[in-house]
Amino acid sequence: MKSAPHTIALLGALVVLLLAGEIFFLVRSRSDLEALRVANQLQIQANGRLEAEIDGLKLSQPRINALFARLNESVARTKSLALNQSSTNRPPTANREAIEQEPFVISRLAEMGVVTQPSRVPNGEIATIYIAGFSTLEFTRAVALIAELENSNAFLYFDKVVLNRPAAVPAFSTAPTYLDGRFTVRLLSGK
Amino acid sequence: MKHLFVSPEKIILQRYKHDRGFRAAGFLLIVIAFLQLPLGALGCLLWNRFQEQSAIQSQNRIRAVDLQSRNANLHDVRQKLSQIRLWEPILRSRIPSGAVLSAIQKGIPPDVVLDSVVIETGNYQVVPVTGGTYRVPKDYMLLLQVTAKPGSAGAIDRFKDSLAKILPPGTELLRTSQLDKGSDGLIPIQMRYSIKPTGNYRSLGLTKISEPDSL
Repeated sequence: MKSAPHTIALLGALVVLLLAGEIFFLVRSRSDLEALRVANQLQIQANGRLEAEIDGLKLSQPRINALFARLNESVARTKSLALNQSSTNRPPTANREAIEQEPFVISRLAEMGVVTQPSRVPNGEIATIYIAGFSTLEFTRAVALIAELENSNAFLYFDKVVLNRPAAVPAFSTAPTYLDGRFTVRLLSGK
Repeated sequence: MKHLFVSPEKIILQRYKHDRGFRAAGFLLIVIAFLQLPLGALGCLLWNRFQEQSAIQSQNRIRAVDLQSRNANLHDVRQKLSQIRLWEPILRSRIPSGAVLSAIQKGIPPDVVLDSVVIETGNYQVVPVTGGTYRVPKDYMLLLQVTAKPGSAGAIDRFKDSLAKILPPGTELLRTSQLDKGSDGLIPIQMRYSIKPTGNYRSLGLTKISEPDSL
């Protein structure tokens, strides 16, 4: 038989170990529980955000579709036409196919008697650039035409607009004044 | 010392009753036994909470899966929205020339006439678009050459004031200069404006592209 102090020491050690084990297990369980609670909270928030996003998207779906369709229509689907082929200052017997390939903006300009000529596009730019000129439009009609073209194509940029009163027309003339107009138009083109 | 009339069992029992070490051991055992009660209660409490949180976790997972499937149906809308966002800088930086010209037309007093108008974009920023890039201007230059009727003092200033009200916020009149007298004896004035495309063109009578058409 072992001596009493040894037995007590052994018993004490066992008790301390048992207590330490229990406390360790409880502390660990508590921190795991806290981690689970936080993870659940985050998941609830994430779910809430996603649900709000889905609801918002569903609500805006018709507007998004309409806006996309409107903007996508504006992207000129023409391939770059050869510089010498698509001037609108051409005889009426010109290639019909080339006319059909032209963006609405250019055909409308041609209709209004504006002469257009494709211009060089900088490298990497997905665009179609035209230089245009006219001398048969008054200020009001020119403004209306420009506004109409800009309304028809959201990506249309007038990079340069120059409108001049011809030198032969005196200031404050009451007669209709046909302006000398030149502009550079740039359209976003799709692939 | 030999105990002739007392058995060893009796001696151990006596020791249990009177020895300090044994008493301490007994006390320790009793304390530990009592400590098991709160620890056990705490353990039960934690276990219950763990069960609750596990139930919440599984509910969250089911909900997340449901939301993901609902979200997958909106893939097309998301793609369209991201494409619209890609186009957004192009739309924001575009000041419609038609609106600027219309503003000039509205703002010009009857005793002032326009000789020439130049609108020019500059200081381009390259915006990535599908398949390449597209330039958008960060500056617009508006150059106006006007002539006032002789004797109409302040007409040019009135024109400038009306332009200041109509042109978009951020417009700056850079320079006003008097040109040489023309053959008709009138003195043309040249005004150079700088217009920054801020995206707010309400003063020009324009609304946001995303707003529904009032027509």
